[in-house]
Amino acid sequence: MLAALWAASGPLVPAEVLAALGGDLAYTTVMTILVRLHEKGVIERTKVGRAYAYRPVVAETEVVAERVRRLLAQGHDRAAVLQGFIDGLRPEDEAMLRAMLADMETSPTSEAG
Amino acid sequence: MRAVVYLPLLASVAFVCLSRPACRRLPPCRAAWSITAAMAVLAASTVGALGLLAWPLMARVPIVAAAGRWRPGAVTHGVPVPVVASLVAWLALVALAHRAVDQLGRLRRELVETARLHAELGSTGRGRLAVLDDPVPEAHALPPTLSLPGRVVISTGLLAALDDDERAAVLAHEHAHLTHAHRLFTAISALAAALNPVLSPARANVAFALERWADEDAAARTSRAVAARALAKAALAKLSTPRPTVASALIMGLGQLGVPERVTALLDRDDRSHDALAWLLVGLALGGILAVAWATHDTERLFETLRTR
Repeated sequence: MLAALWAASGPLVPAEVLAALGGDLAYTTVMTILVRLHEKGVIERTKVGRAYAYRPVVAETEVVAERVRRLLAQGHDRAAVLQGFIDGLRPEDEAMLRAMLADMETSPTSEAG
Repeated sequence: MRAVVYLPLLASVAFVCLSRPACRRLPPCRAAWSITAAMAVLAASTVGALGLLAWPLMARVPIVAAAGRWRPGAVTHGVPVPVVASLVAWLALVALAHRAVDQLGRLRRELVETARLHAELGSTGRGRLAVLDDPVPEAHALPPTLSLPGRVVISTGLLAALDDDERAAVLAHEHAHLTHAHRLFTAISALAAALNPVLSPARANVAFALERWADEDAAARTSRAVAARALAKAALAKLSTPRPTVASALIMGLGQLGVPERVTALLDRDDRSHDALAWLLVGLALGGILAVAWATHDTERLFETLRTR
């Protein structure tokens, strides 16, 4: 059930969860599980009309947040603001990096932390 | 007074030469702090020195002379600064003020752009992390604004290229940028370089130190090996992705410090102490500001003697 909620692009009401799961379960069962998951704090809910819509709680290191269309774009200001993890890469770095990666993979260090 | 007033300029040149080995050898946090602070102090010192050189010309203006109670003629004869030097100093001050205003404008536009990016990302879950549907592997730390917290932005391209540990390392790296307010360091170094163009090369050294700092945080969270691997894999993935026509990466010059140097630093931990470098940096900055203080004192004394009773 959590997988269905993760896969959705927005919060789901119980009826939608039921549809996503293929209708094997009874509506009341889905409701019960959703309520229990909510009590455990695994999912959160917002009121939509008279029903609740559920979605997974996003932990800080969770990878699935929202998928936003490419926004990397024009403007020097934007590039200045978004200084990246892999900024400043030169084509000639490739050979060196491949060699380093190969080294790392063949002789893994026992370095911890 | 005359020789001492040029000291800040010399100190700036020496500092820039030292800042490169400093950003590679000092512990990154210390490197970032000391290089940025030294840049700020040296920028203030050179502006102060220029002000002292420009001052005699100002002192000859009748209104100023009247206020200070000295005769304009006395200034011309009594102050050992040639008119030409004063003129050049004035021109330099005007040019530097222009640069500083430009830089402040740039910083303001970056703040506006930051807010705009936050708005585009919208409210994503807890608002701390956003995933971009983008094949180009990259991750960024979007700084906070007055009303919004900072965010880590990561592309699906990067997520696809890394395993769980490595993703954690990247997230820890970007999070470190936000936690330690690295934007402030880059902003201060940019402003210092605007006020003292001699310091410009040190900006890249600050940037490198900040990346190393975040790398070390990531290594602490996962491990040095994992962080190194994440960086190398991410970089190779980016190199093999066809570049979009819109440039998003800085164009690196020869000899600039970049990703391979960061990977090496993570793999070969350098535990030697390089305190001497740190002290030298501090010494240069202090030297600059002390020189200006001394020259100011000298100037004050000189003008005291020029005062008519």
